Amino acid sequence: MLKQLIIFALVIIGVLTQISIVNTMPFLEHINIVLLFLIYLVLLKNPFVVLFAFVSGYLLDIYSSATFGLNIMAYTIVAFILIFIYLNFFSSSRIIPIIMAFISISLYYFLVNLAILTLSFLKIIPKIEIWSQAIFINILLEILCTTIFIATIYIVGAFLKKRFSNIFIKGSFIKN
Amino acid sequence: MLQIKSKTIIITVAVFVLLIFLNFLKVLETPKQMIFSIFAPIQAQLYDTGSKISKYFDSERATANNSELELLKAQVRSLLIQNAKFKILGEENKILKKELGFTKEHSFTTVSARVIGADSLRNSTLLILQIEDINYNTDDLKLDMPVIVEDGILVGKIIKINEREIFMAPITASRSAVAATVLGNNYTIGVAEGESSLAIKMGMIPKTEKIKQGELVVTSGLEENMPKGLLLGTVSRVDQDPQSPFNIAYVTPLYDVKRLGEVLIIKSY
Repeated sequence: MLKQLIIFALVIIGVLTQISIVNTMPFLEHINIVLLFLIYLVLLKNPFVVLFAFVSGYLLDIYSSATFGLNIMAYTIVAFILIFIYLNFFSSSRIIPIIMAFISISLYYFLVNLAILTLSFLKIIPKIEIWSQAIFINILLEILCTTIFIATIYIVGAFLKKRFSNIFIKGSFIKN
Repeated sequence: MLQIKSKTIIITVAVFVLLIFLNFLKVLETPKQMIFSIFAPIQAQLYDTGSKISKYFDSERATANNSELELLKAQVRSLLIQNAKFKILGEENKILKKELGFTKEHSFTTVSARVIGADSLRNSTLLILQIEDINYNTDDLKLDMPVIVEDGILVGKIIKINEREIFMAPITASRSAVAATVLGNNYTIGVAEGESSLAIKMGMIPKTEKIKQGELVVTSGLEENMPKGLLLGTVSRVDQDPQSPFNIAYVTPLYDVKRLGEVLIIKSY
């Protein structure tokens, strides 16, 4: 139960920061916080990755001008594909966070744009511009910034883990 | 343990389809509004904090001269608003002199709102507004109503209304378009459209119109809900292509849409 509560807290923090505080800051505006959490949950082998993606998508859809369900669909599919890739191809790779950041952002934009294109073709929603130089630059910046951010946290995390585990081992030796 | 079970996929798809169906039947409106109302104050606070942090970093970077420059820019903005109003009043005065007994006042009926966040769709530039008066009924708000700041600078248009959640397209957004003219003209000379979410591009300007750098671009009032004389920005560059029958003017907006806090929605004028 506690684990599920933590996941819901992460969803709320991720979504609210993504649509408010992060959007006003120069570097952080290009970081997809929800995808960032999603990647870390996959790396931590958390069993609630899909639940996180689904609920985040639902909350994001409440704050979206687009058709309801677009974010749920995009984030849930990204979660499934990230789990599949992690379990089958790159689980032992050191550059897995970078690969995951690249795949997840590219996939997210591909799915959202494909859905918008299909819905506007079926005349369910009005035509929305999905491809321009500015959008392309934004996607590239998001891939770059999120990857840098993820890689930095991953390296710092790995370093701290190594350092603290050394201290723990030394401590246990002293005790012995 | 992290793994993909076929049961998980089936349940996820089933819940997704059920949610779409319930949303179609409008059953989800109440929980959506509840979630929005619960998180709106936190969100507004977060957005405000983000803007303040951003402004702090901007001011840290700026030197004393820059802060003086900011003050002067604010003064210029205020003077431009006054100038626009005087020119419009002058024009009105002329008309009034012609049509005796006819009076028309350019005072707006507005509703105050605040920006509480951005559209969650990543490549969208829309902003989410919330009406400050919690008892206000949003039924009398319509699509395409203009959103202004500082008593006359146009910053966007309403493009979607979901009960208490209002989506605004900034004037710099690619989907935004407004009939415009330069200050002093009485007719529309072009269409001001958003350019890469940063600037405004005014197209469809006939070759006969002579626009100079630094001139003030305002709304022409051609559209239904759009009053005449709302400031858009200043002309930074004019492109004259001999092959094209129209000129293009690039307009620098007077307000940074990323720093928006309090705004006013013009209901009637």
